[in-house]
Amino acid sequence: MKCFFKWVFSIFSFSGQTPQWRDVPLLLAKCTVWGLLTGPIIAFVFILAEHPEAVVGYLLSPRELLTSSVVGVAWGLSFYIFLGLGNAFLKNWIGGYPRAISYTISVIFNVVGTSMAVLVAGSTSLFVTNQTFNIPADYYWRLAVINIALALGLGVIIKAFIHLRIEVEKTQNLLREQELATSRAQSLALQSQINPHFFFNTLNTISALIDDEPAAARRNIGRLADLFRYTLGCCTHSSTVDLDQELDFVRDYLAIEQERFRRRLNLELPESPNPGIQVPGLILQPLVENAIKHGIAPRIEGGTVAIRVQPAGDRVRITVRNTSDGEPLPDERSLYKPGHALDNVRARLRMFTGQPNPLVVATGFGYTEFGFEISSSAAAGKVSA
Amino acid sequence: MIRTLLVDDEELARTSMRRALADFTDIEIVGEAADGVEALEKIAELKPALVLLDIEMPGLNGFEIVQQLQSDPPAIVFITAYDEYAVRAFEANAIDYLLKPVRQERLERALDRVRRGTQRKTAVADISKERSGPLRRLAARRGKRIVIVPLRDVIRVEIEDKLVFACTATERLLVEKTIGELETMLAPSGFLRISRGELVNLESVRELIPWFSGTWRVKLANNEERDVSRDRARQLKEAMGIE
Repeated sequence: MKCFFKWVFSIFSFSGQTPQWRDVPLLLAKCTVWGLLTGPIIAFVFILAEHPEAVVGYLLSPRELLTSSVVGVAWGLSFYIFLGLGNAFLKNWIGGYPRAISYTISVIFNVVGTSMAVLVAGSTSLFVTNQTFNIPADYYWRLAVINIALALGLGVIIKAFIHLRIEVEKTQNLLREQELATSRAQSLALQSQINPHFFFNTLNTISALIDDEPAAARRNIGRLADLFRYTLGCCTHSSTVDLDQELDFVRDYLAIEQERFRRRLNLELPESPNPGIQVPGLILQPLVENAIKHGIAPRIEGGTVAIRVQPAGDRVRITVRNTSDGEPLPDERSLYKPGHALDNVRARLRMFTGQPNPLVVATGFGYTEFGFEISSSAAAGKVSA
Repeated sequence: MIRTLLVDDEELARTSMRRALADFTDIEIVGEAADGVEALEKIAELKPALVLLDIEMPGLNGFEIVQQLQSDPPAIVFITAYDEYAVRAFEANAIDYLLKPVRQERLERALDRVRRGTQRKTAVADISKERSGPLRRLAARRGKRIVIVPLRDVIRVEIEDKLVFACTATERLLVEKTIGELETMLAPSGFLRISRGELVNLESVRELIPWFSGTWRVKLANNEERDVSRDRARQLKEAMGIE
C-alpha cells in the first residue's frame, strides 16, 4: 500500500529533466490513477459542503463514485497532456531561442494548453455527470470552477515546490563540486611534495660540506628550510601561486641538486620576471625532479635541465627539458601510473586548465621535454579556492 | 688491512665516507669510483676485499654492478639515502647496508661484520638480482676498457676459443662470463640459448627457417643466419609463441 502511494505521488517528483517518450505511457498511467483517487474525494467534499444529506447516498452508489472518478481522470489527464507533458518537451525545444521569444512561446502555449485542457476535461465531465447525477447546470459550473481552481492552484504550488527543490539541489551540487575540486587540488598538491630521496640526499650533502665548506653547508641548510617552508605553506591557503614564486622555489631546488651533481648538472633557467601569471602550486618541481631522475642521474656524463617560459598568444608555454639518449618514451600508461608524480601533475593541470590533455611530452634529438600552456592573464583559469 | 673501494657518484658523499672511514686503522681505501663502469674497472684492477657501494648511480646502479661481478666477488656493503624496499630486503636477509648520512656506530657495526667475514655473498647476489629486475645493460670489454651495452642492442652472444662475445650490429665485445652464467643472467631479459655456444636476443629474431633433420635456422636482425640445435628448437619456438 505504501509502495502504491509512493508510486502515485512520484508523478510530482520529476526532476526537471525532459521526459523520454518511453516514459510517457507510465506517466499517463500514473495520472489516471491519480485522477481515479482525487475525483471522488473532490466530489465528496463538494457534496458534503452543498448537500450533506446526500453524502451517504453518494458513498453507497458505485455508479456515482465511478462517475466522479472518471471526471477526476478527465481533468488529470487533460491537464497533464496539454500542460505538463507539453511544457516538459517545450522546454527542450525552445531552450535555444532568446529568452524573450522562448518566454512568449511558453506563455502562449500555456494559455492555449489550459483552455484546451478545460475544454476537453470540462465537456467530458459535463457529459458523464449529466448521465449520472441529476444536478442543475449552475451546480455543475461551480463544480467545474472548483476543479479548475484546484488544478491550477495545486499545479502552481507543486510547480513552485519542484522548481525550488531543483534550484536547491543545483546549488548544493555546485557547492559540493567546488568543495571537492578545491580539496582535491589541495590534496594533490600535498601529495606532490618533495620526494624523501631528495631530503636525505640533501642532508648527506650538507653533512659532507660541514667540515670543509661550512659556508656552503649553511647556504644549503637555508635553501632546504625555504623549500620546506614553501611546500608547507603553498597549498594551504590557495591552490595557485605566482609563476615567479614557483620558479624561485625550483631555483633553490636545483641549486641544491647542483651541489650534489656538480658538473654533471647543467642548468638553463628563465631570467626575466613573469608578473601576473598564476600556476598551481608545486607544479614545476615534479617535472624538474623527473628531468633530473631521467636526464641527469642515470647518465655518467650528466646533462642539461632547461626551463623555458615562452609567450604563445594570450597564453604562456612552460617547458622543462632534459638531455636524453633518445631512448623511446615509455607509453602513456606507464608514464602516468596512478600515484606517479607525472600523473599528479597532469591531474592538477587538468583541473586548472580544463583541458583533457594539458601535459604534452615531446622527444627530439637528444632531449625529452614536458610542457604545458596556461592563460597569461592573472584572473583567468583560477581554481576557485 | 682491508682493501676497500668507495663507490658513489657524488663527490661530497665520497668525501664524507672517506672521513668517516679515517677512524678505522684497518681500513685501507685503495680507490674510488663515481659510476658503474668505473666501479667495475676498479674492482677488476684493484681486487678490493670490500666495496662500499652506493645503490643509486649513473651507468649501472649498485644492484646491476653486483650482477656483473665475476666469481669470487668482494664483500659488499650497500649504501643508500632512501630506498625503503631495498632496506626491507637487506634486513630480511641480514645483508650489510648503510644509510646516508652515515652514522659512525652503524659504520662500525657493518665493518665488524665484514671483519668477521660472515657475509653471505649469495644473498647479496640474489637480492641484487631481485631488486634490479631483468638486466637492461651488460658490462663488456672493448680492448682494455669496460663498456656498458644496452641489451636491446645485443643481437646474440657467442663463444669463440673459449671466450664469450656479445655481438651488436656494429661490433663484438668481450664478456668476462661463461656462456652458462650468461644464459641464466640474460634469460629474464629475453635471451635464449640456441646451441652449445650461442645465445640469441629474441627481440632480434626475424625468421625461423626449417633446416635439416629437425634442426632450424634463425635469421636475425642483421640478416645473419644461425643454426638452432634440435633440442633447443622447441624452446625457441615456445619462446616465440609458436606451437
